[in-house]
Amino acid sequence: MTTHPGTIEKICIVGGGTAGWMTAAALSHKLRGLPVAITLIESDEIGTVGVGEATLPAIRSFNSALQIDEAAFMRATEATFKLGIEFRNWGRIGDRYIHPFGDYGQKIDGLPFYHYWHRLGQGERLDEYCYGIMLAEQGKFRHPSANEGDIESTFGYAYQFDATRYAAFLRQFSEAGGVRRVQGKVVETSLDSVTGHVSHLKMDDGQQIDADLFVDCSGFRGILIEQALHTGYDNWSQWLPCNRAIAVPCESRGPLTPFTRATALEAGWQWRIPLQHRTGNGHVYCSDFITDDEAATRLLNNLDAPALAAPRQLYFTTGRRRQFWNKNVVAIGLAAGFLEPLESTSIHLIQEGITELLQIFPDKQFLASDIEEYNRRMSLNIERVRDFLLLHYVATQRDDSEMWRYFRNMTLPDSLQEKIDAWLTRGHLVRYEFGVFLPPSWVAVLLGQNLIPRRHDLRADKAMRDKIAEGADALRGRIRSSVERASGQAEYIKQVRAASDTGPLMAKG
Amino acid sequence: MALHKSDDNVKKIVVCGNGLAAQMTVCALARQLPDQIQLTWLRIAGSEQSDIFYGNTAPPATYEFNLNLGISEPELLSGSEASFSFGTRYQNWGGAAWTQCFQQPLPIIDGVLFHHYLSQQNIFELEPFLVSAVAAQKGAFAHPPEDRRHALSRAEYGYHIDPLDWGRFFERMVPRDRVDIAAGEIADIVVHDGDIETVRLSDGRELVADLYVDGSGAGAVFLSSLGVVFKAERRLAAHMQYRPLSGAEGVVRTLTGCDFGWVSDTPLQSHVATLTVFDPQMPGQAALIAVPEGAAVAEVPIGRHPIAWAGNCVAIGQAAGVVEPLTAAPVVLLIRDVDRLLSLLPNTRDMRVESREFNRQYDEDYRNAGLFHRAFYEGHAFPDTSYWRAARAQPIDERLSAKLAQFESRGLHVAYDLEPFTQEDWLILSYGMGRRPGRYDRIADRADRDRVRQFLSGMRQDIERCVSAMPNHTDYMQNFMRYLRQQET
Repeated sequence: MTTHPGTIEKICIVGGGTAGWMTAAALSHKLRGLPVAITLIESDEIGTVGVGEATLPAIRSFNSALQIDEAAFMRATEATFKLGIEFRNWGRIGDRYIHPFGDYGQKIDGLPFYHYWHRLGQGERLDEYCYGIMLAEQGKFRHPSANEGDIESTFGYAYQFDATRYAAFLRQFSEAGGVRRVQGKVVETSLDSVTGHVSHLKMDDGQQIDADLFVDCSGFRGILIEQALHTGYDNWSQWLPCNRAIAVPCESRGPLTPFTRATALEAGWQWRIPLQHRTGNGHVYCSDFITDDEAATRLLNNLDAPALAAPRQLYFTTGRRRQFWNKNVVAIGLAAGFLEPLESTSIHLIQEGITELLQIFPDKQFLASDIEEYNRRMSLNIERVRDFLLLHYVATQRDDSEMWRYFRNMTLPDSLQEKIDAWLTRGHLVRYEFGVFLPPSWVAVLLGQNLIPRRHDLRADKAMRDKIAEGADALRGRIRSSVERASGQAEYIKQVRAASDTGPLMAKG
Repeated sequence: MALHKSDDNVKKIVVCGNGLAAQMTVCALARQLPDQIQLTWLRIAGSEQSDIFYGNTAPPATYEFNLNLGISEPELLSGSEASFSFGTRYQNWGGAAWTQCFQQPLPIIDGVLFHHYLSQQNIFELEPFLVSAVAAQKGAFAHPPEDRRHALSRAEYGYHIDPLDWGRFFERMVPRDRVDIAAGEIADIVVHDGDIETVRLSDGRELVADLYVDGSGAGAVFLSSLGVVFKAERRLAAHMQYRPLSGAEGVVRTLTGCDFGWVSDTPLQSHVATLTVFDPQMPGQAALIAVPEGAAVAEVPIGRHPIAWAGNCVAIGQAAGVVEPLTAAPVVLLIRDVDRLLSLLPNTRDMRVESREFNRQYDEDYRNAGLFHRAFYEGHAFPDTSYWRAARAQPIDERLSAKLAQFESRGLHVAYDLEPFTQEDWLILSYGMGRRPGRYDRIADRADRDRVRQFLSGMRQDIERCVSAMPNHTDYMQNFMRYLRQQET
């Protein structure tokens, strides 16, 4: 093996939560066979935040790149399948819709189906033309068909899992792949006097750890990126003012839903994430509009089963580090920034951070051009997620509390305002290529929250109305009859041997 | 007067122009819009003269564009001079020669892009791994199969076109009686409050519409009437002539750099089109470049309008911006203009939202296409003549700097949203012009070097085997056309 001069030989990951172990797993796997030593520092005393337990479909490619067996992973992490997120009370109190992983209907002559649905007078719910939603609403699951022509190939899926167990699962994987785990706390960070790079860390037991590249996965504190390098933080609270969360697990009861639920409340929203052995719940809120005690009471009163632990309080400031990569430190996970888990993006942004780091993997020179490109890509990613999250709060008719009135009076970022205007005027979606939420996601939220376009694309008026209606009815019928044949999620999990058998997979009722 | 900022539906559209942009736009609108929208085509003579600046290559996206209009490939081939194209062979270009072929993504191995393995193996040539380039070298063609195991499946193809003939094809594809034709000269365009109110013709007729589409070529008669000023970068002249096929024509356009500019030869179905592009202000150019009798001739400013949609007027193709026909960019942009118009065709007379979004996309598309063209002139071995000096004097966008720097630094592709040229286009251009990454992706070192070498040589052999079994383009085309004629009868 040739060793290039200047190649990174030592990597140190600081922090052992979801971000730390995902990074360790991916780097150790991708760099296996190369002369690179990876060390991960974690403290048994510092708790992990365990960012969101629901994920996006891209997690599947992360796992499969690591050659992780799906059933084994699901058993180890108490995972369930996720077909989307059910949003309740977002447009108006009493509303509900599912944001699915997949499109609505099929394009006709290059034109998205929803224009034809609009032309047909929106008689049937658009949801009825979306396989993933229909499957989710029935509480069922099946794997998508690999055959592109099949209606069963038109949806994606992700997982809901116990993030702490996922980290433990990846720890095992990483350690087997040669990652050295150091237990302890970082008490001092030394910088190179010439370059200003982090040169080594001193641990509470006196041990010194040096590395060429440091990955800061230390969470909100950002031990390296902020405390040592003073990178700075852009506060986005003006757009997304929620700044606290309270989380509590409860027993799993009732059918095992293949979707996450996000219910809008007066001063924030509540999540419900069904796992095999329990249900995760949390209340994300803004402390300007509700007290911590009120928020906790609100959450506990809303649980659909007895709580399994005492509620845990979290504090955060929505925003992003000014640079995700600064000198020889790359921040991944909460050390890089925080966005509320409304669309299950936390783990996704970790994944993006790792993917881009591997794409733009540095050498000891740490070229400014590499750092700039990484920061450009990650900025685009997180800003586009921010705009999409903000859409949920502003595409609404609610004005029943101070928080909803705050959003009503907000001046939106131009890019988001332009997007909403184009949608309302004519159902046009301003597209981009780089960003996790593509047009069908925007359609889901906009329509789900009652932003019905005034008009549709004129091309949809070209074909005969009866012919379109006939095609639409046939599609609906195909979806319905295929969904009928699918199994319930709990049963399916057992069928594919993904059941952990540690908890009540099928609920107590 | 609040005529146009109302909720009234758009009922009447006037398209002006006589060349490719107008022909394509009228065809697209007529085939895609419901009948209740009245279409009038104002054919003003002379506006087609600059059409040779659309060049002779249409990109792979043409296939889908046509299909969305309900036009099949057999219809295109039977109804026009179009032939298959694997791209362009550049010669004597800054000391380099390469085939800028159309190509599907190259294999990604162990998460690492293909070209990093070339760097690792000290292989400097990309072309032997590009099935369309190898086939082009042999003059061979066949439709790429979908089966990914087949080497030819990574080929991609577009079309060779004669822009004048191609425009007439679109004109013939306009459904009969769908469009009112008004031929004549424009005497006056009445503008009110930033909108076109009426177009008066010299014979006294008046045309009134809700939306005016400017397909009038570089003159941009509608758009310029609204005070939108063209920003010119430089001037270019061109002439196009035809010669008979020799029977040995290949499946690429051949483009050769010269002191005065460049000359391209494009094999069509029944003849070869030769396009000569030069700087009309070059000292002594008249003596160097004799314009053949009967050749189509044009001189245009290269550049664009800052916006393509003003008030109730949208400019399409050269009326919006004129691009040198060095690559397929002029047609890529024309197709995007028409697609963008279709997707943003206003429902009502209040078209502010549509125009903002149209202009945003227009700006991105022209800017990004400009990056690709400007990259052709970055190098050291170009003639020191006025054509080359003017091309190389154009500023380098920061996006292009980032692309070039990252490629040369580490073979990384820097991409922006929805660019008109793909990662493969950029890779082929970079290799073609002699740019090589200074480093490669370290993960490539995980693989056993001997196995990588074997894989690469196996891939070359696969491609060679595949190409040697392919018919030559002329035979394939003749057989294909014979088959189509049989199908018709």
